[in-house]
Amino acid sequence: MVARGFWVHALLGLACLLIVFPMVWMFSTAVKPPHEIFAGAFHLWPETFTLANFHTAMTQVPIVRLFLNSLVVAVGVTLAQALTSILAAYACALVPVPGRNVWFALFVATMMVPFQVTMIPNYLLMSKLNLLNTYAGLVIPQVITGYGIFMLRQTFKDLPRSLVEASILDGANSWQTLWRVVVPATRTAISALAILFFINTWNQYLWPLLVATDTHMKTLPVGMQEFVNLEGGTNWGPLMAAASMAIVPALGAYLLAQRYILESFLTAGLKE
Amino acid sequence: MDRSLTAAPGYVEAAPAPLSLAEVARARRRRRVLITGYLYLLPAAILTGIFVYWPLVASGILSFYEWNLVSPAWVSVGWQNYLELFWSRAFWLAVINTGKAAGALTLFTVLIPLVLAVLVLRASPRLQTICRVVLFSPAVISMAIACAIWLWMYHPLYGVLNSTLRLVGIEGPRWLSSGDWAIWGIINVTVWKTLGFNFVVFLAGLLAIPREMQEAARVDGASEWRVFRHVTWPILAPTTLFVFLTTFILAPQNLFVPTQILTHGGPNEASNNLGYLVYQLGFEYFRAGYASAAAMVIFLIFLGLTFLQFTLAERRVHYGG
Repeated sequence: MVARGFWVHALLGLACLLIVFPMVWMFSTAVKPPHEIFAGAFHLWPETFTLANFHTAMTQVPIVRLFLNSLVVAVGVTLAQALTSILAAYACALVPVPGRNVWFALFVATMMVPFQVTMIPNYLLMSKLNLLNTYAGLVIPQVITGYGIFMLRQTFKDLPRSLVEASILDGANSWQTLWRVVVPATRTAISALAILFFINTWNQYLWPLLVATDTHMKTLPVGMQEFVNLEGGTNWGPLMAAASMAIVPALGAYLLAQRYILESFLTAGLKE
Repeated sequence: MDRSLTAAPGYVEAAPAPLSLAEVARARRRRRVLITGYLYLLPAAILTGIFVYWPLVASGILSFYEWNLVSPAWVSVGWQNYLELFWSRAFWLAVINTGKAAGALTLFTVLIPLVLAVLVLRASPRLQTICRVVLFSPAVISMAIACAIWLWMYHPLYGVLNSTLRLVGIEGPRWLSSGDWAIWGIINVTVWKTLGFNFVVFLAGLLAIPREMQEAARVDGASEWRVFRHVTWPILAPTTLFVFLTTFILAPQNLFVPTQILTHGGPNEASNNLGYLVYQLGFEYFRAGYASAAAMVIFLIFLGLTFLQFTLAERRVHYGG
């Protein structure tokens, strides 16, 4: 019994170590001077601690600007996706519109279209509208999500009918009912979904890679890649320093609100 | 309109009977409800049309042309792009690699998290929390950043993998520039990044099983394996199927970022895959029509797989109750 308990703990411990190691190694490399980075030895703790890599990272790439771009895009997309999802899901769930099930099916079916299939025409459209290298070009093609409509319709449908009917009887129209009754009653589900939208947009890579080619319009994950293959080889120290700075907000928010974030992934990420 | 349906035959041309005031009000309200209903649908409908359905059609049209993204002239080539695609080595390598990666990802990111989730239930609550927080953490960081970290760890000379292997006298492979290893380098990063999410899904599924059921089986003298086989597994099976299918179907999409950052599909297309091929053809070789043909093929494959998922999941849910 003791032996089995030991093996369970050993195996779990090993799994945790393997998962956490790359992040520890990133931080460790970020604070090492070049001669230690290229020593090719397994030193987790640096012999000389240095912040020079962070300094180089900040001066070679406009990290603050990249951070700001990521924030603007993520907030913009999150708000827009939440708004379009709320409106469409409300109509599909609670407003008697003829053919609403057909519309709902059309929205949900967008989930089955892989991004790679639509990216060339969308890129061409943004290029034709002169929206490459603008916030609008980064945000607008992403303001719709079949997934959000799918999740919220279910949430709205699960509301007690009496709640909505009472509001209509009180003389509120459907618009007032939406914002005064339906949205407040489902704010937990909506914010869980919004957290998911935010994390996904913050981390996304392909669309900003296509649209933002000017350094000062890039988002963090795209802009960071400038350290890879700089002339004379990749600049590993500053790259790891930039990665550390990029990770800290996401990781910090996760550690502070991990229970809540896990829950939103679970409730918003699963059908049931 | 309703009245004309109920009217007796022969009265088609008859003038409409005067409506009562209440009826007029009701009809007007119904029309207003109808219009507001459509107003709610409008933003989503317009945006879906512009950014999903029209691009889908446009891709289909573009796939019959040869175009380099800048020239004003589109040259119509008929089915040529599709024929070229089916005769190209890169396409079939991409298909094989995508299948390989989807299989490996499904195996690793379903089996390992399942075992870990079953094990963690036996650990102390403290360790349970630690495992959940740690294993899930790669899910919140960007795949692009994860790739940057692994790029450094894979470095053939100074990377931590090979320098550690050297300590025990093994000369490690050139992880990303060797034709045999490159696709596994990509798969490995994807496993590292997505394993924790599935772990949390399984853990939630396991925690939903009433503890008394397992306790009762244990009291009756059932071995741990029999408890898992006959109590835990039947309840967990639908979750497993869901995780299995989503992992498999999302695999081609999840492969794009690691491929773009780690190998660019190389060396010599050895790590190319369907998620990357369209980008490569369109934005590296500037062949928009050819890339669109590849995109359409991927769309059809994806559609087939999704359809399969729905039919399988439907059947499973009915069995599982």
